[in-house]
Amino acid sequence: MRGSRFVCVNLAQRFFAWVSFSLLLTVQASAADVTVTVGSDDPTVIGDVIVYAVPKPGSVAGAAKSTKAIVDQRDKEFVPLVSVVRVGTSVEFPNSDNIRHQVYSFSPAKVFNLKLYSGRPSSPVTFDRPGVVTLGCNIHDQMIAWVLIVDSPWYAKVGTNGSVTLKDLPAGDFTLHAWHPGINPATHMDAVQEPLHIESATVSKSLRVKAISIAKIRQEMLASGEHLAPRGVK
Amino acid sequence: MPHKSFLWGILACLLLPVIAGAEDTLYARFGGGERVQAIVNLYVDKVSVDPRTKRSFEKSDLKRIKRVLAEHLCALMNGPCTYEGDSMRDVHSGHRIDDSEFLSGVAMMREVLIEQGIGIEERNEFLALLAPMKRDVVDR
Repeated sequence: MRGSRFVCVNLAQRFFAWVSFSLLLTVQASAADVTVTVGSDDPTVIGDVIVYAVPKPGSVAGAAKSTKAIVDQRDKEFVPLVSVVRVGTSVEFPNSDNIRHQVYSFSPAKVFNLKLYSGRPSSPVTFDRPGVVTLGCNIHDQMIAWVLIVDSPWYAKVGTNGSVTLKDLPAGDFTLHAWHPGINPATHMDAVQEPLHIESATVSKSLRVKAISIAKIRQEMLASGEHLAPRGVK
Repeated sequence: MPHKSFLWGILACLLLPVIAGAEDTLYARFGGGERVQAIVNLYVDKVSVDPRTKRSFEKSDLKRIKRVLAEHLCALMNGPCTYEGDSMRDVHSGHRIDDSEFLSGVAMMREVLIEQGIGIEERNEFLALLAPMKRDVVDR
């Protein structure tokens, strides 16, 4: 009797161990899609908002994802005006114009100065630290654009309809961010933040962004006569 | 004795322009850095709005152009500057500047020089310095 009871307990333990292991697998395998709706008083800012989720330390780890990005120079404008990349991404700066450009950044996240001659390819720039990089062109002072570098694989640019879906987030705790360069027009750094807890398969969130549009940022920058380039750069 | 001082006089007259020429660069004869910068500012303000030439200056940083152009001219006129900017070919390449645009630019520069009281001799010397650049500026 003692022997058979021991076997039963042992089997039961194994059964529970198997069940909880399966549950664990189920929880880890289930990934949630987070749909974020972004609203703003100024509808022209919405298409330039970037939404991203950063896991709380020790919560979950993001899968490695190699990404490439391109910021083109076209008709004396950066295309696109706002980009988002993961830390470690190399960004290419082609020149679709037939005149030269001189792209620079003095942002702490990445400082560089890139001469782009027509028909001469240049080396890509690797963004290896999270942060916001403001791009300018030394020759064309109204050219301005931003690259947001995030330490997370879950990011997306909001469509002009104001809605975006971050896919395959594992269960865990995150901080959800909505960033736009005009939230803080002085530094371009700030984002709206909200905690995000993932356990079910679909999550909906709405965030409100108060920002000035890129057109307004440019207008103010040109009106103030403040040029982003330092002295001594030719 | 009067004969001797007469010869010295002739010698001095012959040498003086040579010495003066060696000492006074075109930059100095223009009146130095401030005057060169003033000329450049007026010139850029003209060509960037004149319907004949403004096309090539659209969306451009005019303050930067004024700074680097003054530096380039200072170096060309033997002033105390070094030009470290791009070659004239790289600077103008792709703008597809034609003969008439180039000549309009030259005409506006001549107007500015006259307005600024630069004499005929200096004007011609200055424009002669720039003339060889035509082949790098004109693109079609």
